[in-house]
Amino acid sequence: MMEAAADMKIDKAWAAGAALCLASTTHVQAQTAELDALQLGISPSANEAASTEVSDWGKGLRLEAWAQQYSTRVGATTPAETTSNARAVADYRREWNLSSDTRAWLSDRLEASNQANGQPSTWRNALREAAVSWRLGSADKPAYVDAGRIVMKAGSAAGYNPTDFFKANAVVTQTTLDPAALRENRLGTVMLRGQTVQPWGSFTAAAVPRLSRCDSRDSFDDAPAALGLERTNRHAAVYLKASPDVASGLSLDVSALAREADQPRLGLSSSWLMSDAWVASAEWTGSHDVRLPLPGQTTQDRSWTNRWAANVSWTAPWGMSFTLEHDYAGDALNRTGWQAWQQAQATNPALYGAPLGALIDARVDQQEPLVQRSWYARAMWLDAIKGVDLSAFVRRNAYDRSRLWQVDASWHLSEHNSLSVLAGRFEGGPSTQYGMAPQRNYVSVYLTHYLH
Amino acid sequence: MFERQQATRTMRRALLKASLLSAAALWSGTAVYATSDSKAQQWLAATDDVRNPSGAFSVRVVLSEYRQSKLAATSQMVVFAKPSENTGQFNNLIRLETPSRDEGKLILRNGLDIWFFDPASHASVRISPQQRLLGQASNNDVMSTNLAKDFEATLQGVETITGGDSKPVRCVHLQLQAQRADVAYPFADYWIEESTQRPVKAQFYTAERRLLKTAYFRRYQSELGKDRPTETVIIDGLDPSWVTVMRLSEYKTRDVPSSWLQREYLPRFTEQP
Repeated sequence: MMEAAADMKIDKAWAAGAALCLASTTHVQAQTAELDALQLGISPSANEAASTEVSDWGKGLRLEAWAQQYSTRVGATTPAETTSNARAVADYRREWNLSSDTRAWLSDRLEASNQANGQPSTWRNALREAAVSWRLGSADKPAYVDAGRIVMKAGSAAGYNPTDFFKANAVVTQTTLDPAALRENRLGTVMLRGQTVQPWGSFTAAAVPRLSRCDSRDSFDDAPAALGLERTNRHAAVYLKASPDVASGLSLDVSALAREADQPRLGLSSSWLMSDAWVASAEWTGSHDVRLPLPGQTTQDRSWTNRWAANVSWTAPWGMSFTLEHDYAGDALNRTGWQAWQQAQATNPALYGAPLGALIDARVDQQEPLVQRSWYARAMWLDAIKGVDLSAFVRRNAYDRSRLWQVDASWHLSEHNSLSVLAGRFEGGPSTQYGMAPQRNYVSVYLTHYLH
Repeated sequence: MFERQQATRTMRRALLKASLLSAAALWSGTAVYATSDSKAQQWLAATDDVRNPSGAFSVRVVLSEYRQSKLAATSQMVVFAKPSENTGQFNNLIRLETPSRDEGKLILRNGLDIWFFDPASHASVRISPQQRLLGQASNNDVMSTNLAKDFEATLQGVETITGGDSKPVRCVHLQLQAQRADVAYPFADYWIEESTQRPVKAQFYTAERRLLKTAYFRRYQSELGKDRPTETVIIDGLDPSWVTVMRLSEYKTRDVPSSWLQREYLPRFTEQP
């Protein structure tokens, strides 16, 4: 009996010893793999050595070749029509230090488009930015004066930025509906801007002159080389923004805009680091706004309205990031108002179809939501599969549950070339916001080449 | 039959003895060194001094990413680092230079805050420490960090390990535990050459003690008055064939104005190394 007990103890000890040996073997294997890895990079390869020499030629120039296909809704019973399109893009961004205190920058995008259905080719140039900046003051407390066409963005949210006061009508051409891309490809506003960066934070003031007599979006100049000043400088404005250093892990922007033909607007934007993986953002703006009209209405009284967006983002340990955002625009259509338009359009499309279409187009141009409440979700994974970046977003009308989604995969073929695939779809019934969009599906494949 | 049983028992007893000896060695190591936490912290601070110059400086970093021993991607950046007057921890500004699609992008770490600025979108976006922007190497791997400000160290003993140059090195082994939740790695093991206080190897773990990555520090060269590692080999914890080699060069002592460390300054940043 005692011998059996002793044997059991020995068996346990043997098991423990075997486990130790196994662990030791695994450790040795891991060590071997590590030692193999240590043989890497003993001397930089030709590729690596070349990557350290940066040529100046073509700096800032990016070429894109697009092949696009999209299906268009014709009617409830008619099959969708498919249209193909080829697009070539030259995108240029460059800045120069003219002296130790003077800097200039230029940003431009030229697009040529060719429809496969026999329509003539079109091209469009967008001069996004052309400006000069002077630095004053010391390096620790500098001040800047900028003059020219400048893209000025604001807002911490991801899908909708109510405090981004200069976004309206600024997008000239769209190759993607990704809000992140729309923020990149838009016209700047001509302004004189001053900014100081102090230990307590930053303060910015900008004066925007009126440079166009255009009084409605119907008379925008869509000529190929149009500067688009009627889009960005239709009204004079003054803009102020303070970004105090409030606390570690917390940011705050306080902004105000006074624009002719409009009521003064206040804005707050904040982001908060909740943990090593969670970030929350929120922004708000309030003003006396005119609410969107109901069917048959021509005028609406002004009243105080709020617009806000709030989101949380989480990054998984493996690197994938998720963002969920709720957007609210008080001047947009509430549930009752949107249902009234849906009903009017369904019962009398000849009378209400065109005004509803114009209303939707205007809100798209202004980059403001059509309905008061909507959801936006985004997932992003850089280097998800060996050199491939993945991203996807969905935008959802909170009332009719229609949605727009888009997925994007970019494969970085080399230092200078990337191949991307983009696919999207408008989903919903024929009387819903995204269901009544002219497009149904779209797919694009594009090659991007960086010239330096 | 009896002889085989006897041999089996002898082998089991030998294994038992080996196991007990190993356990005793581990226990004695812990017993001797576990009370020496302040000494461990000194070791960690000393190795921070080897890795990082004392004041504000800039350094060029080239990351080469290998998959299955083949070069898969390279990127190049300049890191501007300045110790905080309040905490002693480094604040960092990284300017990406290559690949072309990333040129001009900036990553700023100022205390807890990490901001990513893209010149194309003109937007500074707050990111979490967990968010990776540089492939396998985390933002923290590239940024200058004083580990002694982030971790509590415990001495585990003295061991001879294989160093980054594939030679045996006698090292002090420290076990590190993050002092705060915002530190990128909750746990780490750190090996420091006993004779020189040079970092030799580090292993970083998740909160669940899963190995995230192993790093070897090597190619010591005189930079800004001290021999410092100019190459770090980072090996993925799950896939050892995924390796990033981080090369550091062009160390320069330089002024890093406090304005550079403000997010609102990022669109203004044009400094060249």
